[in-house]
Amino acid sequence: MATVFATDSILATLMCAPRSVYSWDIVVQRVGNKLFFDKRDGSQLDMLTVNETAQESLPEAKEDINSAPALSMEATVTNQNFSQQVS
Amino acid sequence: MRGFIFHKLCISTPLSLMSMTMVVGVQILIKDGNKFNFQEPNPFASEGEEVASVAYRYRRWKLDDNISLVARCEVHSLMEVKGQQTLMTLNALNEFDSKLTGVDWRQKLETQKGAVLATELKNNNNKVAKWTAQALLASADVMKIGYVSRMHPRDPFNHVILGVQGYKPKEFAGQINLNLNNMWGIVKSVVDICMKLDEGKYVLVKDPIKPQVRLYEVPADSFENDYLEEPIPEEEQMQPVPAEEETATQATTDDKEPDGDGDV
Repeated sequence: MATVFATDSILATLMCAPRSVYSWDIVVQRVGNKLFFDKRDGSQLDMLTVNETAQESLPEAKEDINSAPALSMEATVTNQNFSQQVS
Repeated sequence: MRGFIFHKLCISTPLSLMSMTMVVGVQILIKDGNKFNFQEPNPFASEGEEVASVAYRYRRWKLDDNISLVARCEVHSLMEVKGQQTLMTLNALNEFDSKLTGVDWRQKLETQKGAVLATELKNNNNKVAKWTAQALLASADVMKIGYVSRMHPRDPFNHVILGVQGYKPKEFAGQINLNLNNMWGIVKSVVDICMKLDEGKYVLVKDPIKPQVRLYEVPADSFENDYLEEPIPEEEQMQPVPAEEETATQATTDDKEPDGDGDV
């Protein structure tokens, strides 16, 4: 009996892959009859995106507080804090 | 229920996202400070360390007669309502500058909630779909989406919660055209392809431009961090080898007398 191991965020990335715009990557390891799906160290798989599927693009300059990387950081932190505060 | 979130990012640290230090100062209004302890302690918490409160549910699915899938799922909160326990996931959408997006949540959230959500579904379709997929995988009863806005458009560090909306994951999935069959179909296809591979390490990469995914084979030790934590002390470090010509000239002029068989 073969077994596949993954986390919910990896499965969600695969399941919603047709809706993704930005690039992402997942490490796959085949060991015997097992399959492991992992996040690569340093990848941004768990970071949240902002306006990924919007028509208008965000400011390009990395120092801009509304650039994609800055907003991604802000959204990830905000999301994390929110989950700790509200119930 | 309103709350204020204050968080200060360490500005001196480069924005390398995975190694981020964060100072969080938080003022909360809690209805009742009940903490629900799940059976096993958080495996990522070390002694005395406070980790974000989350519950992991390990769940197993049968993909077909020969393959089963085990996944670690997350739930963020639990509510007791009339003796029933409700598992919830919590996620937040964030508003950064309504002048850029064209939708002002402070004006529209009260009376045109649908319009706000529709814009978010357009601009953040992938993100919201992933949240929904995760709630479905975790078998959460409710998924809550918060609307969090910057206190001032130019201040990315201070936010306020403008509203929270709860949904039943299956219903919300229908609302965003997220089809369960399609979702599992993708997973099954990827698993089938990977099961046919030889033992080894691979990377599944989504093309940055095209709607295309590629599978690459990589060396077995890829992505492993084998570097030492601290630098080796001076004595143990490898010293650079002196240049070949210098030693050769030295030997002929200073040291050696010509050897019989011409060796140096």
